[in-house]
Amino acid sequence: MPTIIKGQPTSPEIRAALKAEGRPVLVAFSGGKDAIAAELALQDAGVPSTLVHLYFIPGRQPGHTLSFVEQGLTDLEQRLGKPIHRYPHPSLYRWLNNFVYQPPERCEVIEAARLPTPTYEDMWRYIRADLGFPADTWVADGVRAADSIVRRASFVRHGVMKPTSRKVSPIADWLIAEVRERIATAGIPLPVDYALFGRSFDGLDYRFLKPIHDHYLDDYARILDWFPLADLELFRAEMENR
Amino acid sequence: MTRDASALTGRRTVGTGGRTAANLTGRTKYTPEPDPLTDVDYTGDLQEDTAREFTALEQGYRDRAKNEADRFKRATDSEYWFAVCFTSREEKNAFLDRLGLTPIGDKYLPGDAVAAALNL
Repeated sequence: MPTIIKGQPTSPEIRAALKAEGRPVLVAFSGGKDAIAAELALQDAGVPSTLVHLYFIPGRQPGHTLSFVEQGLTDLEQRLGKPIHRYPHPSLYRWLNNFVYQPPERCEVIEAARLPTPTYEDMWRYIRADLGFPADTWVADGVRAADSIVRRASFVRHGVMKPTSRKVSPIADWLIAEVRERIATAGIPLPVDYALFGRSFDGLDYRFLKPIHDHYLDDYARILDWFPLADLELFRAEMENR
Repeated sequence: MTRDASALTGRRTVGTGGRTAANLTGRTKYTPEPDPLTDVDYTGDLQEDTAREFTALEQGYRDRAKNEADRFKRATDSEYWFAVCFTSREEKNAFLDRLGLTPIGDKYLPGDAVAAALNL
């Protein structure tokens, strides 16, 4: 039984509206449960979709990311029967340009590179163009009102289909049980992120770094390749927990 | 496609004042680092081009580390002198005289001056 978002269409109505437009949508595909459920819901509604993953850490293979994330994405590519395009996440540029976890000698190199700091909207504009989609192509995500009071308020205030930013949330009114059920029906196991963190990987704090350090040492080393002082996050936590 | 023509890299941040690497590293004589993305060969494919930029940035880190290691070695290496020993003061003075080095000194001699005196 979906939740009701005040003043907003139901998610079947949203998916029907996307279907009626008769053109593909992009899916912001983290690889997490909500993204998987959103993609499945679009497939059910007959909305053609293209999956795009925004990676946080460049992997050892150019254009790819950490091995445990790649493992999940590759598995999902097979199960969903389509490729997942990989682009850098805007946060990666923001972290680098803000010298997050960077030792002093790297700061000058980063500054010399004069990387951009694209916004999320910038990034999707570039991705639409790069994949040859019209500029007004919808970007679907798995954001749900039941996730938090803030997200619910955001839907009420800004809408579930945002005509200006072209963001749409096709499972906005789903509850967690509906997400789980749809994924289980499809027989898709959740990526290893859920065993490690209980959610998909999206940050450089202790919640993520500690399990990666304990279970995927090479990925942890790769994170330190890009953010060498992230090791201090574990050091800090261990000091606090002594 | 050049970097400045690429959609993503068209709005690169430039020293925006305030927090800069020069401030962080405390260097008083600031020698700018070379742009690590100068030699990126852009293809026009955003997935490929962004990956190439990150590869080049990583190489920039490695180059910076190597340059720093070389600089440190130059700054701290003390093996730039040698000593020649004789059995007496007379032998030493005679040696310096025979080679025409006495005007340069009799104990500490700049290497480049000795080399010039010996036509090396």
